[in-house]
Amino acid sequence: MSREPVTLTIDGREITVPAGTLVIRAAERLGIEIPRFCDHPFLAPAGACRQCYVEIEGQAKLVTSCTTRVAPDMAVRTQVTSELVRRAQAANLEFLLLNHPLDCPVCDRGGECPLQDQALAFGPGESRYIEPKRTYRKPIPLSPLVNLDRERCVLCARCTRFCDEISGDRFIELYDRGAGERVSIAAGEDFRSPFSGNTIQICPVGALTATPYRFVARPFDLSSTDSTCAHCAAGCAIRVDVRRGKVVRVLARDDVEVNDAWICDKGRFAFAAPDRPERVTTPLVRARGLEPASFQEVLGEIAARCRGGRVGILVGGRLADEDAYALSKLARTVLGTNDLDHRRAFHGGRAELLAAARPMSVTYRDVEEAAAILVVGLDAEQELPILHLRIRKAARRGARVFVLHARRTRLHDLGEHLLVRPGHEAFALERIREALAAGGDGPEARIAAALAEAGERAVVLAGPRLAEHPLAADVALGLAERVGARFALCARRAGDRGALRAGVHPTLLPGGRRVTDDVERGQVEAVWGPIPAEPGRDAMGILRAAAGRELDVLYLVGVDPLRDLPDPALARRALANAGYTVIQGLELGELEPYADAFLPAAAAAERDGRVTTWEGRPRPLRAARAPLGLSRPDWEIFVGLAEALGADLGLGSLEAIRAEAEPLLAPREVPVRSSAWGAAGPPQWIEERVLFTYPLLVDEGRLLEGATELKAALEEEPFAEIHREDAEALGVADGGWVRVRTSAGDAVVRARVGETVAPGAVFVPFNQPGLPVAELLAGRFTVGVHLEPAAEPAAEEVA
Amino acid sequence: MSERRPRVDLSSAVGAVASGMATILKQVFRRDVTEPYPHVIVPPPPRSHIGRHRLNRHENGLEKCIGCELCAFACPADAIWVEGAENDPEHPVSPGERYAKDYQINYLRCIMCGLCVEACPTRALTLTSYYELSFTSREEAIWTKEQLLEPPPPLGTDPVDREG
Amino acid sequence: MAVLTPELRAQAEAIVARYPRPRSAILPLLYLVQSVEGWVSPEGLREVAELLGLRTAEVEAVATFYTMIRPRPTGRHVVNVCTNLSCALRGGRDVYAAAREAAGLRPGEESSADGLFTVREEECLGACDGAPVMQVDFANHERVTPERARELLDALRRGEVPAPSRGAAPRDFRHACRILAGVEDLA
Repeated sequence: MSREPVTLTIDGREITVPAGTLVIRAAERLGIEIPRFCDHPFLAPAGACRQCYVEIEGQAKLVTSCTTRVAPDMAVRTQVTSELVRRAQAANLEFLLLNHPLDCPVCDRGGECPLQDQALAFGPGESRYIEPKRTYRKPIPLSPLVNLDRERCVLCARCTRFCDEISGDRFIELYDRGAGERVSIAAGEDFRSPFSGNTIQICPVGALTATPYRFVARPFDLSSTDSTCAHCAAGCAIRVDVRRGKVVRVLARDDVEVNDAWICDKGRFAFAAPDRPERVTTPLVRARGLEPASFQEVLGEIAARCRGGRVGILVGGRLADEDAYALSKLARTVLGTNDLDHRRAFHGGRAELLAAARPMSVTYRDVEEAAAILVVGLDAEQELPILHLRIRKAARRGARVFVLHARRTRLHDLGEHLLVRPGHEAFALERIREALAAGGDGPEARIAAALAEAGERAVVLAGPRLAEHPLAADVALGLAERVGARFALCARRAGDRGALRAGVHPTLLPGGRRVTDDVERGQVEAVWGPIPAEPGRDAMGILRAAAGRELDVLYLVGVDPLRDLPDPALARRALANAGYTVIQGLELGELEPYADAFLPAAAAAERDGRVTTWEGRPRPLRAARAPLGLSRPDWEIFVGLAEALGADLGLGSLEAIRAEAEPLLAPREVPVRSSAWGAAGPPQWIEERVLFTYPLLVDEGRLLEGATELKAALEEEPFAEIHREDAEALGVADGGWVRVRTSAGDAVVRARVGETVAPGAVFVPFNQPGLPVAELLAGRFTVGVHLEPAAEPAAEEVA
Repeated sequence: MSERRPRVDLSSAVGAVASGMATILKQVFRRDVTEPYPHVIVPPPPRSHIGRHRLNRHENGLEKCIGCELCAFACPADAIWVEGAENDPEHPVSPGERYAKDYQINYLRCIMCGLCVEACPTRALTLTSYYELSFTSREEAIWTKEQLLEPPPPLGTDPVDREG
Repeated sequence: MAVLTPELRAQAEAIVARYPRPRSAILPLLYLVQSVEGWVSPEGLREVAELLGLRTAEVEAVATFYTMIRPRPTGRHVVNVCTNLSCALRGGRDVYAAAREAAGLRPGEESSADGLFTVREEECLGACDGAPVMQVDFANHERVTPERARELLDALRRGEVPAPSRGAAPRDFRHACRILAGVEDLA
C-alpha cells in the first residue's frame, strides 16, 4: 500500500496524514476526540459499536470514522461542528444504554469506564426507554480470573478480536445474532489463555472484570505508579495500583517499542507475593535460633566471616541492573573473588559474550518488521510472552516463522515447527547451514531458503534451551552471521541480561570483558582497582566447592538452590557444609535451617532501579510503595556490606551507580574468536532417551505465591509429555501413569502422549505443584531417562 | 480628628437612652432561650439531620449499602473508609452482587456536610439527629459498620453506654 | 461416543481438503454432523473443531449464527414458515399456525412429541414473490395456504415427499443436511 501523504480537512482544519490512516486517527492528531467503543489502535477496524459517526461531505449517510480511511480533499465534520453528528452520537449512546443495567455503583469499572465517561460527554442525558431491560445470569466465570457480565456488554467485540488477532487463543466468541448476540465460551471450557487479562483491560464497559480485583477498590482509592514488570525479561510497561500500601492491581501501559498495549496474565495477576506473611522484613542472625537484629549488627557479623575468608556468591535472576553492578564490584574488589554466577544453565561461548557486550542487537521492532524469524530453543509464549505476541504480529504481517525446539510451542498455528531432541539443536542448525549451499526440499532447506531470502530482515532468536550446550548458541550465531540475520540470545528472567552485562559471572566483567584477558580486565581495573585474575567458579562449581568445604561463606542473593538449580542433592550438601550461609531475599522458605544470616531485600514494586529486557534495553523500575519493614533495595545492602568491611564502593546512589557503570557498559566490539567456554566444558551429547524441563509461565515460583486465581486458571498438574512412537514402544497410554527414572531419582506422573515433543524426548514442566522435577535432574536440565508404565500411585506418592 | 466638637442634642440623647433601657427591660422579662443541656434535653425537630450517620436496612433486613464507595468519593474531609466484597448468594448481606465488608466513619474528620448522603445511590446512608458525639480517644472516634447500623440511642444516654 | 464414524471422518477430511483454509469447511462439516444427529450436539461441535484445528467456540459461534444449524434435537422434518413482512401480509402467520396445529404442537413446543416435525417461525426466506413461503427440509413451497400447509404435513406424515415449487426435494431433514454437506447429490 502506498504511504503517500493525504491532505484532508476535519472540522475545517487541514491535516496531512499517510494514506491508509483512519479518519478517527487523523482526528486524534488534531486533538479532536471522537467517542468510540470498539475502536482500538492495536486491533483491526470493526465498526461494531457505531459510536464514532462523522459526516463526510458528499456522502449521503453518516459513516463510522473508525472504519473509514482518509482520502484526498475529504471534508469531515465531527460532533464539534455538525449538529447531525451530535444527534446521531447521542442517539447511539441512548441505544447502547437500552439494555445496560446502569449498575455503575456496583460495577468495578465505575469511575474509569469509557461508557460512563462518554455517556456523560456525548450522551442525551435521559433515555426514552422505559420497558424492562434484558437480563442474563451473571457473573459468568470464563475462567478463575475473568468474569463476564453480559448485561453490561455493548458487543464491541474488542475481547473476541483480541483473542483472534493478537493472542490467537480463540476461547471466546460472539455467539448468535441480532438481539441474542452475546459473548460466550464453549461449554465446559475455560478461558485458558495466558493473555486473558488484556481483554479485561480493553473492555470499554464493565462486562469483563478480574476476579482478584472484584469489588476491591475504586479508581480514586488508588495511587498509581508507572513501572516495569519484573517477572520476565520482556520488560513490559505497567502501571501498579496501590490501595493503602497494598498492590491491588497491575495494568498494561502502552509502549509501541516494547509491549504495544499488552501484558501477560502473570505480569497482571502475580503481585501478591511481597505481601505474604512468610515474607521476612527484618535482618536475622543466628544466635540460639534465627533472631532479629539490626542491619548494622548482621552486616558486621557477615563482614567478620568474609574478612580473609573464601566467599562464593549465587545470584537469582531478579536483581535490578544497579544491584548487579554493585554486587559485581563488591565481589571483585572487596570480597576478592570471581566466584559469582547468576545463571541456571551455562552458555559460555561467543553468543554469550556478545549478549554481555552488545545490547539491542535485535529489538521488538526488528522482530515485528522481520521477513523471516527462526526461534531456536525458546518457548516464547511460556518464557517471554510479549515477545511471543510480537512474533505472532510479525507472522500476521507476512513474516515466515520457524521454530526449532524440542517441544511444540504456541506458534504452531502460524509457524513451521521442527521438533529436535534436546541437545541436538546444533545438528539441526548445522543442517540448515549446509542447506544454504546445497538446497533441497526438507524443512531445513525451507528454513535456509527463507533466511537467505530475508537476509538483513531475518531474525534468529536463541533461547534458554541452548544454554546447556554452548556449541548450540554459537552455531545459531554462526548461522545468523552467515545469512546476515540479526541474532539475539534471549534471556528469560528480568535480571538475567542486566546481571550478565554487569558481570555477575565467573569469567566476565562488566560489558563482557573477560577476567582472563589482561587488557580487558585492565579496563575495568582502571575504574574499580585490582581484580583477581583467575576465572571464578560457575554456579554448580560454587555449590561443589561449598559441598567440599572449600568456601567459608556462601552468599545466596535472591536464589534458592534447592528449587532453582538442577541438583538439589548437591545444593543440600553445599548448604550443610558451607562455613557460613547468608541469605538475601524476600523470604527464607526451605532455606531456613541452613541460614546463618538473613538480609531482607525490597521487592521490585518497592524500589527504584532499572531492569534490562532480553533485547538489552534498560527499563525503569519505580517504587509503588515503601519497602516493608526494614527491607531495602539489594544495592544498598551490598554497599552496606562493603562499608562493614571497611571499603567504600563509591556507589552511594542509583545515579552514582549508573554514572560509573555507563562507560563500562557502552556497546563494544568483541573479538571474533573466543576461548571463553567457561567451566562448562565441551558439550556432551546424550544418546539415550532424555528428559528435559523448563519452567512454564505459571509455576510454583516464589513470585507467584499468593496469586491463587492465576494458578487456578493457568497452572498445570505435573505431566510427562511423550512422543507417540515412544509411548507405543513402552506401552504407555495417553492419560496413563508413567514412572520416570533418572540417575538422581524417580517419580510417577501422568503421561501426555502426542506428536508435540521430539521422539526420544520426554518433557516434564519445571517446578509444578506436587512434583519437584529438580530432584530428578543430575546437574543439568536435560538428563538421560528411563520410562516404564506405572500403576496409579497412592495419593501421598503423587504429592 | 475633627476640629469642631460635636454639638450634643440633649433631647435625642435622652430618647436613645430610654429606648436602650426599654430593650433591656424587655429582655429581662423574656423567657430564657439557653437550654440547660444536659440537665434538660430538648429534642431537635423531627426531620432534622444534624447528627451522626446511620446505615439503613431494607424491610427484609438486608443492608441497603452496596459498598460502592461513592460516599467516600464525595467526602471532602476523607472521613469515610469503605471496602467492598462479593455477596454470598446463599447468605447475602445486601441485595445484588456487592456489599460493604467494612465501613468506617472517622468523626474527628467528619464535618457533617451531608455530601455523602447526597452521593448515596441506595439511600443507605442518612444523617440522624443524634448529635452527642464526644470521645476520649481517637479509636473511639472511628465508628464501625456495626455501630453505624444501630439506630441512635435516645439523646442524653451516657456516651460511655454507647459501646456496651 | 464419537458422532462421526471412521467412514464419515474420511468424508469430512475430503470436504476439508476442498478449501484453501480448513476454517472454510465449518458449515459443510456442521451439516455433516447434523445429518448424523439431526442436530448439532456439543460433542458434534467439539469434533468439528478438532477436525479443523479450531477452538470449539469458533465453531459454536458459526453454528449459533445460522438458523439452519439446529442447537436442539429436531424432528424428522423441519418446517420453516416465513413470517416476515411480505409473507405476513399474505397470511404467513395463519400458515404458521396451521402448520403447528397439523404437527400437533402444544404452545411453547417446537418439535412434536412423535419426533416427526419441528415447526419454526423463520425470518425472510428470500422468495417474497411467492409469499407466503413455507420451507420443508430446506425446499421452498410458495403461495402456501393454511389448507395447503395441512396437506403438506399430512403427506409427510404418510411418508411421501411432496414436490416443492421448484426442483426436487430431499427425503427428510437429515438427507437435506447430507446434500448441503456436499457428500450426496439431490436425487
